[in-house]
Amino acid sequence: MIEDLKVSRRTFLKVAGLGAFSLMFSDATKKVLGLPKPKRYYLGEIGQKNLQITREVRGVCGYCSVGCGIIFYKHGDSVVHLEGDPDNPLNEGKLCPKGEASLELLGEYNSRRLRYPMIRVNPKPPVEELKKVRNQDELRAILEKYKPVWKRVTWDEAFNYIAGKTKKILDEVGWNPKNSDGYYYKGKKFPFWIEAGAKLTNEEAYIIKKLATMLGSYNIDHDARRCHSTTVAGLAGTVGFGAQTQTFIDTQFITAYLIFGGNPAENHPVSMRHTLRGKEKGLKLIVVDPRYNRTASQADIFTFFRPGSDLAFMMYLLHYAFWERNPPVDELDTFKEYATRFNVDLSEIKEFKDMSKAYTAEEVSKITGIPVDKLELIAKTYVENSGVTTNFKRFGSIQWAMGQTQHHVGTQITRMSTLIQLTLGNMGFPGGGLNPYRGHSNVQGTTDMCILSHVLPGYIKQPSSPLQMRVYQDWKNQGFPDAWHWNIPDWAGGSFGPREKGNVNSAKIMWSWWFQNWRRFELIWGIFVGTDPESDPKNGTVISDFPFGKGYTENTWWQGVLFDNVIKAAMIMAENIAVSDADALATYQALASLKLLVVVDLWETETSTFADVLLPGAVQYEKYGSITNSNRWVQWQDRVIPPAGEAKPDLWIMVKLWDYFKRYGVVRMPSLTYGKRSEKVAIKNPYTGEFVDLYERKIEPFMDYATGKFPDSDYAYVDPELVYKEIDLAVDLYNGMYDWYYHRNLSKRRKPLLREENDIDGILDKKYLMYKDWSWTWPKNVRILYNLWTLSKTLGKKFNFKFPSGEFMVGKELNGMAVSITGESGEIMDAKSGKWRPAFIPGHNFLIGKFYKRAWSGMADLFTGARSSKELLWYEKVVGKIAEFSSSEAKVVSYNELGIRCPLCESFYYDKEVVNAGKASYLKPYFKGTKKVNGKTIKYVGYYDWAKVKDKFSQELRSLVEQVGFKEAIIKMKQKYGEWYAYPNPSNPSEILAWDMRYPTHYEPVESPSLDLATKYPAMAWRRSENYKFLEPPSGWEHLKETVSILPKEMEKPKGAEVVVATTNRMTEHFHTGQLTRNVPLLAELVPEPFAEIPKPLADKLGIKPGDIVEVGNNRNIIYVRALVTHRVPKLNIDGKEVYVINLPWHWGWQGAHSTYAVANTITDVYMDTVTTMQESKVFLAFVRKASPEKYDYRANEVNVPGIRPRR
Amino acid sequence: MGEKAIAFNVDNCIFCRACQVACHVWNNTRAEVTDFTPTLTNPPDLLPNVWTVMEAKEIEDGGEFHWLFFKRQCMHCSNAPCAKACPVNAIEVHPEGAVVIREDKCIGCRYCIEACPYNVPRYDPYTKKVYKCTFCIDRIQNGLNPACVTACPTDALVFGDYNELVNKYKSQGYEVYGDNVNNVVGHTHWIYTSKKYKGKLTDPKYFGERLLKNPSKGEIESEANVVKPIGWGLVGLTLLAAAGHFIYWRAKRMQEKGEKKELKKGGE
Repeated sequence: MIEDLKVSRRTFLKVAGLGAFSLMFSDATKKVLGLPKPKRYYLGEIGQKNLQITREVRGVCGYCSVGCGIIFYKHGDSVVHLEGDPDNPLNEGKLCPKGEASLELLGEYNSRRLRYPMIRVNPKPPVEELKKVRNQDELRAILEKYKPVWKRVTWDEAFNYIAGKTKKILDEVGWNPKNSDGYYYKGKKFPFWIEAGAKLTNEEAYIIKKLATMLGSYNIDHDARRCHSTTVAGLAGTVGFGAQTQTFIDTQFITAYLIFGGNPAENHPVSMRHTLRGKEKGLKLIVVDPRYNRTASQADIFTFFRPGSDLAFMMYLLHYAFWERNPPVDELDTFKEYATRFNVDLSEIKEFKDMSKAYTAEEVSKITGIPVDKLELIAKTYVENSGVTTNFKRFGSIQWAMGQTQHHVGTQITRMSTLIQLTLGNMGFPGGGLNPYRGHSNVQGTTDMCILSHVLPGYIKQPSSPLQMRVYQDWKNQGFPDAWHWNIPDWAGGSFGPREKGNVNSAKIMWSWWFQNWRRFELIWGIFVGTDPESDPKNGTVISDFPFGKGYTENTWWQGVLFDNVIKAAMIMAENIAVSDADALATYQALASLKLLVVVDLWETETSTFADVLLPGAVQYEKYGSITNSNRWVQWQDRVIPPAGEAKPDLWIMVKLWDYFKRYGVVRMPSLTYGKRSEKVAIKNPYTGEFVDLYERKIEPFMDYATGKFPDSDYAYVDPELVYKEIDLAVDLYNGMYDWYYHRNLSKRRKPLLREENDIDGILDKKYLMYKDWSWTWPKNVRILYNLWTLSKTLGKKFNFKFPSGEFMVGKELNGMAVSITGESGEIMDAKSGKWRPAFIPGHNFLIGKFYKRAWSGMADLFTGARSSKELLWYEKVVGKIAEFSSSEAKVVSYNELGIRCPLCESFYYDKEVVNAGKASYLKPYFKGTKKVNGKTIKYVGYYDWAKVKDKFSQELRSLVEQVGFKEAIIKMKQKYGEWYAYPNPSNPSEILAWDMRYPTHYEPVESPSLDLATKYPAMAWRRSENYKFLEPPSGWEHLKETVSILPKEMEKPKGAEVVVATTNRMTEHFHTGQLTRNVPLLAELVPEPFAEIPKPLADKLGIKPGDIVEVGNNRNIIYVRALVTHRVPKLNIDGKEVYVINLPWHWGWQGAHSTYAVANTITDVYMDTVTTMQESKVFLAFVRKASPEKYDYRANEVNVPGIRPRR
Repeated sequence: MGEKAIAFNVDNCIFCRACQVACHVWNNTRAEVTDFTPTLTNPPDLLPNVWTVMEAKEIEDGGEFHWLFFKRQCMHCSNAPCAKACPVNAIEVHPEGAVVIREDKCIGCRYCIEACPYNVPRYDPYTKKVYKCTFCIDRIQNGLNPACVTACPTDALVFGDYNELVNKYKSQGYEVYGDNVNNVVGHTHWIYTSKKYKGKLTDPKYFGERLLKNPSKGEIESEANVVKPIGWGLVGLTLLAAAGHFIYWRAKRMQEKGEKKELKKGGE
């Protein structure tokens, strides 16, 4: 009874409370009390927004690479509001703070945006003065003295100025394609450097690379070099493509997610939506980072580690799998099966396994600072949730960004991630793989379009010799065959692969892919590559409108200006290298030395401080174009509103510039100089050797996009959809993103529904939320890369597809066959039927897409031929001729006669033979063979040989370091043995053995806190000549050597300072160089000032309190920022010694609404990756101490205004 | 429309602060020009133009490190002491649970500020009115979720029927703050939930400085108490450093508040 009473009493109270509530506010009571009914508000009333009649424009967020959809609401010509796009499966209506604040980028809201072209009228900072800068005060003094003064000009004046100056520079250097062995340029000699940011659309990126190439230049590069170039090199070199293999959505299917080198909660906040969903399903989030960041706040397992010890940590994962686990993973049947799938010889794996033996938990703990028990826990959690240990039912995945890439061995680190995934069977499944999250909204796309100095759009090799031109011409004469149908001529030598038809190796397959793509560029750009006459490839004159070789990179270009005197002018679009270049003082010296610097940006940036011409650009929302997100989804952006004033999109600027360049005689193509105006396309009859003429092709560089289809004048002049279609035809990687049969731009597909099970890839789409009809993905709409086995192994299912005889344009291997698909096939539009057919059979695997077969091999030009670029693109008109040969006759038939409905769809197909040819490069030596240096023979060797001399190399280095210091020790060793990481063979001292880097292993960062570690695991940087120049600089630049301090004791540090290991990072609230966020008041509110994160114990030791001004510097520069004292950066125990780690967000510079001369990147280093020249900006030594507040020069160049509403 | 709640699920928050920006964007409130704060919380306190602030603090508890994130805004109490204090009925309590100050009716007397146990409403000396979170009344009345909820990428913010939400979290083993606080505030329409910090929501070391166990006028945690090296913010210092008339006013007002409190203590 009492119990009941209690309950009823409580219930009563509750009811009474509710009663009181409703009584108080019921309409009746209100009337009694005289309270009016609460107000009814219209939508947007509180914020006084006019949302009653609006028009929606859909776009893609312009900040990070997740690709979130945004809906903009326009009222007349005003953009009044935005919200996340609820249909977009990537963000489901959600946005991060940057996306939310996007409106403030538009001219309507932002008075800082540039509105007119401008030319500088006062002198630039002189290089001799900049050379002397050693601290922030000195930098400020010079830059304020030479602050730019601008004069407003018209676009015509600006273009005339640029083209006139460029012509003069070309004349001065005698720019001419005539060589003794043909007509071509060397791409590294072009004096005009182009940098174009990863914020550009695919169309813009493509046009810029096209323009540069047609000018004869490979001196072009972009942000990707400094962010994920090592990812692309490490991954593509190992498994075929350099991209993220999973989607953001797919992260929810991961079982063990190792966040190592990335910070998605801060840099890709919306991606965490899907990852946290995974946590609800049992995903274990493992975060290993030098900082306890916002991602760590969600971790199941977290550990600090020392920046730069990445490889050691990962070697332990393998050590556990191979040596501690019972049974070792390589004894599992699943392991052997998986190794067979990627065509790897188990003996290759054994060498790597043996290498991992030394990386015990104790040793790795000494290097990384991670406690032994944490190491074991992480390794166990990860390995036991991997494909090979769970019979391909559960998978581990690795996420990274700059933490893995920005090291002088970045390629080794990302390759190591790939090798771990290959070893553990985690690659090529939903819920498993590699997730290098890209930074910029379109950095994946601009990389695919290859605003890069070493590859043509779609990662196509740039030619390097006249011989390649001759072999290419011969390939054309053979009827544009795939590798399986290609006869390599005797005179070609061995480097192109086996000669006979039907006999292939990976070199031959790759060359046939590169050649196919060269042909695409030739047809579509209106250029010529080959010999004159075409029929005599062996002896004809070589003409190549592709320049030869590779250009400078974003990290070496300053040497091209300062040391080599090659680069004399530059154009920088949508990049702010004065803030983002590592060792930025060197960049300032290069920028100041240029005769002409053109900057295209949204604002006056730090980089424009050095500019001669400043052009107003457009932000992504002000453009039409396609944007490729980090998981390769190509999504279309519609123009929300044109840019304010006279600002223009980069697409317009580049095409206009081309027009002026042509008028001024800057365009000097080899084919034009030689006088080659047309190409005779003929195919040699394989039976008789006689040529069958197909057609003549006009050679005329094509840059005419003025279709007038778009209403705005800029896009009427350059039709972005036409460029989009051109990319589909010209870039094999992106082929398929336009539907030539039904004329649909697939990047505009917005179907947020899943496919049915009997559709192509329907089972996977449904099960793993792939959304295959939302936008389009390369390659051939495959969503999970290397997805060969999910259906068969993980789900125990199969999908059958029949190729009825004669229906599809495929080879005999598929024609009339029923095939069983085991993974994700993607789809391709068939040339004959105009229907979709599965692309990769039985699924996508390593390198597939690059490996291909062609039904028209030996019979027809690509697209059955095109007489001129304009005819092809504007009118989709092809020649339509296909040659049929038999031993008795040669017959030319038209595509109509053959029933081809969609010739622009081509006839490529991918069968089991192609898929099985795809081999992952488990073993990959980066240096091969032998070479002679100063009379010594250097032989590059694998691990077993190197192990014989490894310790001796370290011992000699150490004893030299103790005698003469680290820098001199390196110089002595390199001079003595002719190569770095080399030592005489004990059994044959005249032979020097050098490590060939075939597998990753630990290398200390160039600047290391420990003598023991720096000599036991020396840095590899000094093998690269650009790095070695820091030790032996050219005359006039001797001061560069002083900037190097390899050990703490080599650093000049002031009294009371402590030397620490420093790293840099980005934050949720800011974007890269800060121009897109420091100028956005809503984001600046959150984090206005520059700071360093300092570990609490270090702060206590140095008497630093939160908010104090600290001096952070090294031999490169000294800067002053605020101290954020925190437990989120560690004090570590490294090899028995205390090591502090500090962190610097690098978003600040001296221009914009929140400014300071404390540019973090002036103290980072630019020691470059041995493969891609990536800088080592994620780890360097610095000193810290408390500084006096007047040293701090941060300024907020905006003030609070009265009232609660913004003033515009 | 029935009674609604917005849940802040502490466990899902990644401190991206999309909510803080989305609030500005929807309500068209001016961004504050702020100074450095050692906790990242910025601005360090609610302002007439900043109706929600994401707060971060680092704590150590039993050798374990935690980085705590807290979303601060009007709690929208069912008893709405502010509405009761308003002499002109400018504060309306909607059936959905929203407690909304009507800008057209507010006379700037600031009684609501005195009455609020959670120290939320802020006076703007330029417009001479008081402002705070509106529960996005102009969105929910028109069938939309509140702006901060709409933005939140990780679903740390959830909008729904009051009882449904409370029951959902409770049945899943979460601690819930707000469904039955005390008879001063009644229940709050912003509820806070956590499994990770179960039992610690009202612990002052964790979220207790904000999620008051027994909120009443006398229990207000004034900002002056919160200035710690590692704490919710360097309010006093940073605000004093900032320019502008109303900031000056605020600082003065806070000082007054502090004095008042001291007087009270003296009285005890």
